[in-house]
Amino acid sequence: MFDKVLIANRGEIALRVLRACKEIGIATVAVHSTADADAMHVRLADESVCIGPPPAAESYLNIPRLLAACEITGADAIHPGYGFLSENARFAEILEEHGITFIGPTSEHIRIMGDKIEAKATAKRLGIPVVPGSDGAITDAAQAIRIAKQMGFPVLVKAAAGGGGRGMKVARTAEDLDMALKTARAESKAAFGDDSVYLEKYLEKPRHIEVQVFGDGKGDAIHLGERDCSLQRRHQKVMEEAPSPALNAEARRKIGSIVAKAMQKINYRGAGTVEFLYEDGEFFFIEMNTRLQVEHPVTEMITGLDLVIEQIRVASGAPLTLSQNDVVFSGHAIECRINAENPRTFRPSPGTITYWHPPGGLGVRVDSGAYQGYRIPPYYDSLIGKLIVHGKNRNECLMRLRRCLSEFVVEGVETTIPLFTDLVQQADIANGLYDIHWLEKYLQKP
Amino acid sequence: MAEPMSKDVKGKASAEQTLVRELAGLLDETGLSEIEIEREGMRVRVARQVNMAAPMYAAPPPAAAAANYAAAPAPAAAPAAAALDPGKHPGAVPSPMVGTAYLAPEPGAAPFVEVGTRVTQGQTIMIIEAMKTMNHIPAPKAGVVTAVLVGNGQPVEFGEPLAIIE
Repeated sequence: MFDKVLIANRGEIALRVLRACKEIGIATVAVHSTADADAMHVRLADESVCIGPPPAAESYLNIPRLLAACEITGADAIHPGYGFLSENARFAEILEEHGITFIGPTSEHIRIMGDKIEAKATAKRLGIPVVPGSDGAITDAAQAIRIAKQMGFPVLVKAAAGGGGRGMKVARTAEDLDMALKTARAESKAAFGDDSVYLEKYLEKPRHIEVQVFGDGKGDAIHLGERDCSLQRRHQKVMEEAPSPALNAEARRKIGSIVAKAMQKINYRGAGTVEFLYEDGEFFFIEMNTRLQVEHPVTEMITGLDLVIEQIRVASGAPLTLSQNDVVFSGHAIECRINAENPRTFRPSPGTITYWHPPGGLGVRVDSGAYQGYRIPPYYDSLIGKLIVHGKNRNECLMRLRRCLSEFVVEGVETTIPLFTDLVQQADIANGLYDIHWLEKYLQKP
Repeated sequence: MAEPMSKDVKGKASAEQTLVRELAGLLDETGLSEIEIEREGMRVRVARQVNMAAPMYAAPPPAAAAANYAAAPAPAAAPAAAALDPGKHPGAVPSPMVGTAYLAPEPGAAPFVEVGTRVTQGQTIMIIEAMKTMNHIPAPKAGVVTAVLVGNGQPVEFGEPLAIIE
């Protein structure tokens, strides 16, 4: 087991990782930019190292500085959290070369799943159902039109180097397709430095259902059930729940088993999430995230497994804590991502939190590094915390969530709490009847 | 803290008092401004305000007697304030990187600079090593080194004050 872990991240996930390390007796090093000197996890860590000014490129994304911080503190492992360098194969490789453990999968698996075209080909080879598409990068517009006519419009142009909902353009007709290709390529080049695109069938009303997997790196892998993350705005998840209201136990067992077997075949190590679009009872692979996800707590609440502790254990060479038969799903969990943004315009609202009262009670969990007096820096994303509630069933969970939202007080900055208060009143949400377009349609209503 | 002390809490409290008195005595004896120790789950820090005598810093240039008199209170206040937080001193040189500070070009050699050394802009004042690469830290401006704030082989973080040049 590691003696000291360096937490290469910030905000709520850094605090999450710190908590896991403390619970299993591992010393913690918090690295931070000058803007995060007063972050809660920095205050609680055993050691802290300021690694640069606010811009991520000079701090949280700066590999030499992270390595130097490891060197001066003697950390023997790094937990990358999510975002930043968590899916950077080069970073994982560099750490491998320096004898520092990267708490996550191998650089090879990160690389395979990082390229969305290769990931899809790999998934197909492993028996995971995929969205019909171009089977590779688009070479020219004529080929694109041919493939699109074959699959049937509408189609989606996607960036190979994209992911996380970015770099996608819909085309409903052959005329649209040419423009969609050009725009997608230009945007992709600007955002990811790579203009490769591929084509997929565009599903009209799918749900986003993802499966949590865990591998020990030696051929053993299990699934921990699914999460329904259909409520999205601009392809960013807003609210998630486990289990999905759309699946029954048999469907869950079936897709979970397909995914777990695939991970066993490739000797996957650590936490991973296989994301699908689900429509008319069918699953379509879209991508795999080779890291911990923001919404991991809902899986923790229904399985009772601490996923971060499990990541650390597996990275240190230990076997998985649970076998597939040990995994039991209990109750229902919902997570609301609380952002420091206006709840209607979503304009970011950085500033000082003058009053902070999070809800509490049975089945209530708030993952947040915020505190009264905390100054939210304007340099990073606006997520200030996650409210996660658990109940014996979905109804109890919703009632608990309603109660929690009415109790959650944040003053000094605007937050999206009022948005959630509205959402839990909606009949479609209460009945679990929503797809990935639902939230945007709701937000467009006056 | 209005709880009545139990017998062994009282015993513990007087042991702590003795420790603090000892540390305070040590402060006076050695002329240090701050001592912090941690053991057996307890951490104690004793510190005192240091009023630096003006001679510690470069004397102000000779001027008319009236101007000197008026100027005197300000420089006295500034050094005292700076002594409490060297990072806020206008002449403080912040570290541009994370690594280990070395004061000399190699073990056994004379240090690049010492207190009192006059430096030109760009002159190397120390090395910070990270991952086997030695990085020369240049003086941001010409002046006199009035303080070296890190020890040889000390780990430093981004922004940490390394020295003061005035």
